[in-house]
Amino acid sequence: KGDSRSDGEYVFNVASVLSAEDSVSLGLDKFADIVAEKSEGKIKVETFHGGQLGSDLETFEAVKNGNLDMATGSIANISPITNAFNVLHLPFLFDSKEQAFNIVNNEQVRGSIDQDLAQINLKWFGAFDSGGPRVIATKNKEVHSLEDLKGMKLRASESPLELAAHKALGAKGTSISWPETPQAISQGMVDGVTVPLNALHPSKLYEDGTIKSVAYIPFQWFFHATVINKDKWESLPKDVQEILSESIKEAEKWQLDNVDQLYTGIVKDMKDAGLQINKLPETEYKKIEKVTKDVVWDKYVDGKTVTQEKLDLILDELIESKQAGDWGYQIE
Amino acid sequence: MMLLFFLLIALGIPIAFALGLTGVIAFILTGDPLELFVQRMFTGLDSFTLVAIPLFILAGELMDGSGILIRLLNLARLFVGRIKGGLLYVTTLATMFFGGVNGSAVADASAVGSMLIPTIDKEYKDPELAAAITASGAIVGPIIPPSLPMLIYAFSAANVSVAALFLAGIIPGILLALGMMIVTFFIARKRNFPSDKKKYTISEVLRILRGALVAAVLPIIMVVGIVAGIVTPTEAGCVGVIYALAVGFLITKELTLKKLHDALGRTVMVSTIVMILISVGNSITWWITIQGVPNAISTLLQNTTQNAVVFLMLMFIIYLIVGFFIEQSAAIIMFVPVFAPLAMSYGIDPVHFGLFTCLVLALGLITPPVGICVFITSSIAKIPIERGFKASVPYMLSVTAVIILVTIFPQIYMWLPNLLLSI
Amino acid sequence: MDNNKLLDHILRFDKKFAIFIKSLCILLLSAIVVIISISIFTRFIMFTPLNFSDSLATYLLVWLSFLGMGLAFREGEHISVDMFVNKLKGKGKKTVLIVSDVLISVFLIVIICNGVIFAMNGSESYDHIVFGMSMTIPYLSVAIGSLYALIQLNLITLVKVLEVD
Ligand code: NA
Ligand code: NA
Repeated sequence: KGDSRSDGEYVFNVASVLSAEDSVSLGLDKFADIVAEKSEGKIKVETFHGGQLGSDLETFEAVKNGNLDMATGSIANISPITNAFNVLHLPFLFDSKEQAFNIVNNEQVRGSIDQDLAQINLKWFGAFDSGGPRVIATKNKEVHSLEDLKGMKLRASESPLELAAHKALGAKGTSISWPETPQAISQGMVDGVTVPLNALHPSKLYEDGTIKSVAYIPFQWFFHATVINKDKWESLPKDVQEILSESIKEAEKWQLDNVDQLYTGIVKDMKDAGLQINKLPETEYKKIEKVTKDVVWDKYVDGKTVTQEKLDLILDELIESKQAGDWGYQIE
Repeated sequence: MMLLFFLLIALGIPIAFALGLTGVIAFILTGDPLELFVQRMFTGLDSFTLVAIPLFILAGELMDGSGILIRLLNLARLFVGRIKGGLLYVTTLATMFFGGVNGSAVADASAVGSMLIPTIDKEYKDPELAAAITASGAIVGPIIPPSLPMLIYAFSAANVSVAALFLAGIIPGILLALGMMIVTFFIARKRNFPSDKKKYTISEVLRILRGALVAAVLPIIMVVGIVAGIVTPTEAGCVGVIYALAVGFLITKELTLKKLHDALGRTVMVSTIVMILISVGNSITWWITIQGVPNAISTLLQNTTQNAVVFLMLMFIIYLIVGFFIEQSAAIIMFVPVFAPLAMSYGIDPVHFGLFTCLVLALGLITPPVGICVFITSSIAKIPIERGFKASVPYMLSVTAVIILVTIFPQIYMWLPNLLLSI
Repeated sequence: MDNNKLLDHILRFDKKFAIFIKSLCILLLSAIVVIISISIFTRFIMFTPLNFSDSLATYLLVWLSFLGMGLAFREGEHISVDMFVNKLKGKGKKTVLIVSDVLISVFLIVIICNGVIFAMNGSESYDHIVFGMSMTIPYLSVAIGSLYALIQLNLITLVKVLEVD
């Protein structure tokens, strides 16, 4: 269906793994609306949320092989097929949302990542805020210090960088796909998960006490990237490309402007339902930052998983955060 | 497409391959990439949860081979043997119990099926009934917590709590089992099944109890392990295998290498059959989704009615039709992201709609032409599936009656999650 | 007479082949049990979870399932509705057998061809958790399993058709 062009119309199918109510999904729907408006209905974007078309890795792979138009998913889960986004997933790379999205929208950084993606026939198309960095949500044990993390079993994504971060913290990471995660926690396979705060919301795990507390250590940032098949993109006429590019920019901006309020509401909702969120003392936070960066950066900026060149490019472009530690949403 | 599918089945082509052929033709007609068909076949099986299936089947086979099963049955006979068709009630309870533990109807049908069907057949000379009763019992399991489909539901629908869904399932699950036992009661009376006339001496009773003790440890380990959150269902299946091996070789000494080899061979066969259906089903699911079928039905519904009751009635029919062809979990992934928000817009409680969805799609596991639980039990009972389906009809009706009952009167079960979760 | 000889040869080859594949499947199943057992042991006794065990067990099961597809043809285990076909005799039965054989073969050939493409496309993908293995290895299961199923299906149909005579 991907290449169907009936009556001079273009149809693009876009897969996304988050539920239809999630901010990333709303951003994609917005994108579809803007495209329809700008093209006066000639270009149609069909969105499929909630993993209807498969997991993020599965749909990224389908796009790579030219079997699906676009897919949206976590950059952490694309790592089995490309190292392109790994650098952005280094722990403690960014210290605010402002800083992170400044890099994501930087022309040079995009160009460099796109170069890597081109090797597997992908093009980076869009970026949505999926709730900021991972924090540590736990079942029984509360985490107040680095010491508390020792020996804990945590759920990780497919990303080797996340597994390494868990190890650096003295914990043990186990890769479990997101849909299987609630079961894994409730059945005690893991003691906790490291996810963006808002990601706890859809599963409602905090309601039945499966997740009781969150150690607010925003240690590893990621976002949801939309990719498109490169050949497909290049085969499109200039005007179609332009409409798509402009529309995704507008949708990204719309999502970025609206997401903070949504996530603040979600966090408040979860706190009202009894989720406990502890901030760690500054000294403890610094200790965690140091130990994680020391281990993970050392090991993975190895020219393969992450290249020094790409990291330097980002470090050069990194702006001073006006408000370090501000990830958009409020937790107080 | 459906016509083609039925034609292929009538030709005697195995259902998995009839489904596959239909799917491939559908992909070709709409210009969808066939490589994706293969990718979906792979990803459909690429899930750790599915590893539980062969392990549960193997545990069941080994329990038989090691003589654990016969000891359990002696116990059951001791307790309910005097009732006509007593073993049949035991089966419903066993499927409810096992499925209640592992949360997957497919694993349940395979495990309990391979343990009990041969015995029921021996006892009552009615393999069809044995297949039907195990298949329908198996669908109760995932309604009683923990439940795999409900976990998937909570994920796909986003705005519903797993805990609430789990609690909501308890009472309807028990009602389902009760309904089935009522059906069994009438069948047993009509056919005049034998009841056990045997008189037990004290020493016999003690011997049976002691024998059952060895057997009872296993389910207890598995239940406690899973409920207390110590092991996953897959690990519990593995513990079951190890335990059955240990008992069979060391305690009862009834297990032989030949029996072990046969058990492994049977397990390979039964799991393959189930897995291939899941695999091909996953490809078809993709096609139906990308064709926009779920979205189109949703739009159609919105234009048809504003009334919540009418909406639920229509949903019942839609889910029933979906259930004819598509397995419960796959159907949930495919339709719930679209239907759950829609139900909310009709003002239907998300937990109520979640339970309703799981129940009606569970019925699909025993309805023809694709009723995976009946497939499994018929294959164990070595009977043609059409006879398995035919014998299942009374149970389908009892399940339908329970669904209608709890859909019209949600207060029957909703008080439980409301009470426990409001504290 | 000739037919009988041919049938004999086929049957002997078929049997050897099937025993080999079945042993392989039993080996895979045993490996799954062993891997999960070790994983339980390391998780509870040594408190260090094995990261790769779950994924590895899953891949083994995928291989087992696709390889088992052919065995199920041989042992007539695939779930099907035979009530119409069983009513047929002689030539009619033979025709239906051949028609369904051809149809299933077409399906399997489609899967084999695309399965090879799919597997090759996975050569640059790696599972970081399972020893950085190339995804071609698990992906190939679909094509290889279907290839064996294709061979087994046609052998068994040939035997059945010769028996009808
Ligand atoms: Na259950
Ligand atoms: Na069905």
